[in-house]
Amino acid sequence: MVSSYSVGPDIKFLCAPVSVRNTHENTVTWAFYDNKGDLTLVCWTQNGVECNTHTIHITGDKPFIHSLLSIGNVGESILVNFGHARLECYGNGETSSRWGWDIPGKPNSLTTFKSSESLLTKNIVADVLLVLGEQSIFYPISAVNPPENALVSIPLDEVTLNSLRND
Amino acid sequence: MAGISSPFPLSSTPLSQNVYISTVTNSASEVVVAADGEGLSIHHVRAKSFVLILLDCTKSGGVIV
Repeated sequence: MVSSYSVGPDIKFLCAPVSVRNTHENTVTWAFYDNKGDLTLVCWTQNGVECNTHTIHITGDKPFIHSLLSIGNVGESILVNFGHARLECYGNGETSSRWGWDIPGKPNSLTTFKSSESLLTKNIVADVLLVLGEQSIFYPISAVNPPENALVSIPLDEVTLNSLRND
Repeated sequence: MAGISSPFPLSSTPLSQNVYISTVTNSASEVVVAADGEGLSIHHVRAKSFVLILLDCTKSGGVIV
């Protein structure tokens, strides 16, 4: 084991964590858990032998947590995907969301990636949010503002749609 | 002790009701594990194509072989 962080005996993780290694000694990890009904987002920064954590308590009526999505290069912010219905951005050291966005349509899947990783998006400088539903819609995305205009939208064939529905 | 195996690539899929695992960005040989009642832990993995995770939920973290 490289490093560990004990959260507590009664917590229940709600999705997979997201971890970014910035240097040999510095790793930033985000996780989302339920502590006796208290929904908490935690950012755990391990810097050599030093460990810092920051927790953000999530309030209000939320659909269930579906996933955490990485954004940016160093893990200083995170996207929380609430049931493919709402996306919120949180920053390390902050107490509330930077922005929230009600996801249009009824997507089956959300993911983020670097624009340079796809031929479709390689000419822009941004992270990309891919919303997969009846269409695959690519949005430029940042930790500052919610998505606005899509870069491109591509209809998905039935085979792909059925594959997504089976996930 | 519970034995859990998962073919790569790792994803956001929960391996069991109590354990989640995902790869560490910018690292080719590390994974991060979240286990209920335990916490978070980062592990080296020794094989690119397959990992066997043995998690003892009575102890902190886990062991990857």
